[in-house]
Parts: sequence; structure tokens; C-alpha cells
Amino acid sequence: MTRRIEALTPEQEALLPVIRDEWLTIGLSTQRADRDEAIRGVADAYRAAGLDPPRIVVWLDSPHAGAIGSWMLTRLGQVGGQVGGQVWGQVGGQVGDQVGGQVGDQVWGQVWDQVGDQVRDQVRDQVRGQVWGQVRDQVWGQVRDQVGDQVRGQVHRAVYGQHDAGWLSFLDYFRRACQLACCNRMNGLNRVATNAGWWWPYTGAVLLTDRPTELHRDGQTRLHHETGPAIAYADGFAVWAWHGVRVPRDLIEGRWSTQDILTHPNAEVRRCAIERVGWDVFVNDAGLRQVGADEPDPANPGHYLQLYDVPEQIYEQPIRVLLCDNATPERDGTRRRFGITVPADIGDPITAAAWTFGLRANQYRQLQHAY
Amino acid sequence: MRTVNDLIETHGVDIDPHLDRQAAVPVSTGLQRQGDILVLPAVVANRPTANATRAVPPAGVAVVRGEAGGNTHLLLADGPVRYDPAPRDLTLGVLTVEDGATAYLAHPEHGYAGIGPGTYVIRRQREQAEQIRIVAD
Repeated sequence: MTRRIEALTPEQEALLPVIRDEWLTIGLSTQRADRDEAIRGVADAYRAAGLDPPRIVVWLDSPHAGAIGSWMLTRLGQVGGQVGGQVWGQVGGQVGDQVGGQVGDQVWGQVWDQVGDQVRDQVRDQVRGQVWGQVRDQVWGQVRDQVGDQVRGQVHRAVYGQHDAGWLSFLDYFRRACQLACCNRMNGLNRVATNAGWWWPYTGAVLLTDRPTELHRDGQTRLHHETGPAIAYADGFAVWAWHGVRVPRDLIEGRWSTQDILTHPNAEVRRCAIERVGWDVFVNDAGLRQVGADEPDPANPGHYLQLYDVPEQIYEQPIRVLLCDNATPERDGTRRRFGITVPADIGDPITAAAWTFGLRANQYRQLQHAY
Repeated sequence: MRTVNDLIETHGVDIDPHLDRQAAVPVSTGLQRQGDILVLPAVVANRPTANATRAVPPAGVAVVRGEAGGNTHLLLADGPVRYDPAPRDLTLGVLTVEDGATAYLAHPEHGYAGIGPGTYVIRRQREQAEQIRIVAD
């Protein structure tokens, strides 16, 4: 039994951001799958689970196609040789749990035994944390929901390839920075993740899918694209998102009327739709009531702040919205007018602007420069 | 007073091409904002604030880092300037500009903001959503 690792050396610490960033790149990649490499990874992963590598390999373009294909393959496995014929008759049951989860769990358990709590927490925070947050929470979660809306059943039986970057990064760190031999069992899963998207392992067969062709995010790493899908796959499967909220396609690519917005059942989607058309437009179209007078915007001469009441049924809680102009001009020389939401008990625009920075009105009035 | 062009040459942070490069950048010790970032003088906050201790390196310090570099507000030093990150609620950190020094906040879409001697709290902006959230501009 080797000694437990209780602290990282400076060299090992230097690898924390390196390995984190590599896995972020893997998790967010929109490159075409390297199919040969992925298939070699599949073979390694099967062997690591004590299974024979599959002889039949099927590639599809998206997790959505994969979920449908996997459902069909499962049916084929059930009817077996009768209609399957010589090739498809060899497809057995799904082995995703063995190939993905079980090997991972075993390796995880071995790492636990060899690494002290402090090191474990450090690697979790500095490697896995961000990769998990950006890839698992932001991307995988939305793709899963979108696939799940259309094809239930096979979503949870997949191994998520590049979208497993979060937990794979954690074990990969111990393999590369600490040379923990137990983590070599992850090589197959790592290799598939580095080269492909979601995949479904069967006895005798594997169904692999490609990575997205497009991925767009906002400054806070949430899925977001103002004119098209935030994630798109080669077969047209796509997710439309507004600052991390999954929204209908026509909210992004079409133009919702005020009536469309007000009658949409989901408050979060309504909020996205309002932001999409712009609060200044929505305030007029929806006939919202102005609160207090127009107030000159401190340090933004010639521009005015306005406060409007947003009824409870729009946001599911009473709020108000402050309209203001950017202090810096846009490319075309105009100033972008935008809305920022504030609590409903604020009674005038200056107090509202001050609240957004945690100030009182008399403090905000002292603003000297705005850019 | 230095011009935007001058500061771009010194610090290397370029700004969007449509913004005025000949403009002089005022240096202020008062309350200022740059997009969703507020520079709050300790005297305006009216709260005792210890001076910052960590020197701002020549490459600057990102007080907010945009993921794709898009929304990075970079703090730059002209002379002895110190900044201690202290993220809590709206506060991002504490800035101290020594006598005779100037700090600049640079952002590609907002240009440069000049900050004179004094101690400041750097804050970000919030809005009311399902819960209170930080503004994403």
C-alpha cells in the first residue's frame, strides 16, 4: 500500500489549471468526431469493464438521433435473431452502466483510498468544479432536457462522452499529476470523451454520436445565442437558449408579439422574451404604467431614467423596471436603451438606479462619470 | 490628461473602433461607473475601508473576467496602485491609488475610466429576477 497523498507539490498544483482547461476544451468542442480514435476508446472502455469490444459500430449525428437509434437497437436486441438477421441478431442488452458508471465508481473508490481529503477537495474545486459547472450544468443539462422532451427513455442510458468532462477531469488529474495507476482504467472513457459525443454501449454493438457543430454562450458561460440555436448538431437537432434558459425556437428566430409574450405559460420564458424584444419596446406595447417622472441620468447628460410598474402576472412577482441609456454609443452612433429590473417597492428612477449598485439615491446623484 | 490613444499605446487594451480615440480620459476621485461596474470612493460609501495591499502588475488585474474576454473590465496601474479582490455580494474588491498615481479601468466596449488617488470599493450591478442576480451585459 502506497502512502496517501496529503498535499500537492508545486509541480502538481501547476497542472490544476492546465488539466481543467484541457477538459473544458473537450467538453465544449464542436470539432467533428475522430471516429477511429473514438472506436479505439470504446474497445478500451469495454475491456476495462471486462467485456469484449463490440463488433458493430453505428454513428449518428446527435444525441437526439442517438436516443432514437438506441431505442430501435434495444427493440432489435429484444426480438433477436428472428427479424434481426445474422448481423443485428448479435446485438445484446445495454451495457452502459457497466462500461460507464461501474468502472468510474470503482476507480473513484480507489482514488478515495489513496488521496487525503484536502487534496481531493482542492482538485474538486480547481479542476472538476469549473468543468462540471460549464459542461455538465450548462450544456449537458439543456441538451438532456431537449432530447428528453422529444425522446424519453434512452437519455439516462447513454454514456455522455464529451459531456462527461466534469467527472472525467477529476480522475484524469490524479492519473496525470499524481500517476495513480488505478486511473488508467479510465483511458477508454477518456478517449471516447475526447473524440465524440454521447454514446450507447450494447453487448456486441455500440452506437456513437458526433459532437455539436455550433455552441454559443454568454459572458457568464451560459448557453445563449440571440439569432440562432445555442447548440446545433449536424442533423438539425438544436437547442435555443437565452442566457441559460431553454426557449422555443421562434422566440429567437421569429418575433413574438406582446400578446405572444403575455400569454406564454412559463414566467421564465416570458422574461427571456421581454429581454429579447427589449424592455423599452415592451413597456410601450404592453402599456405599462410609469412610476414617478422622467429623471435626468446623472453623468449621462441629455439622457433620462424612467421607472415602470410590471404587474405580477407578467413576472409571477411584482417588480418594476428601470429604463436607461448606455453611456457609450453603439457602432451606429445610437445609444442602446435597456431595462433593468428592480424591487416593486422602489418609487422613483434614481432610487432604482442606486439600488442596482447597493447605493442610496443621494449617493447615486453624486455620479461624476459614466462610460 | 491622457487620451484614449495614448492609453491604448501604453497598456495595450484596444477598444471598439467606433469609439473616439482622441478623447481625453478624465481622472476622477469621485463616483464613477463603467457599464455594470461601479467605482465607489470610500468617502462616498462613508464606511471605514482598509487600504488595498496587493500591487497591480503591469499586465493589469481583471476585476471582472468575461469568459470569451468579452466583458473583461481590466484594472491598470500608472504608478503605485493596489487592488485586493474581496468578492462578497456586490463587492468585487478594494482599490487603493497612491498619491501621484492613476488607475484605469479598461473595457473594449466602454473605453477607459481614469481613477485618481484614494481608496475605493469596486462593485458590480444587480437586478431583481426570480432571485436577485448579477447583471449580464
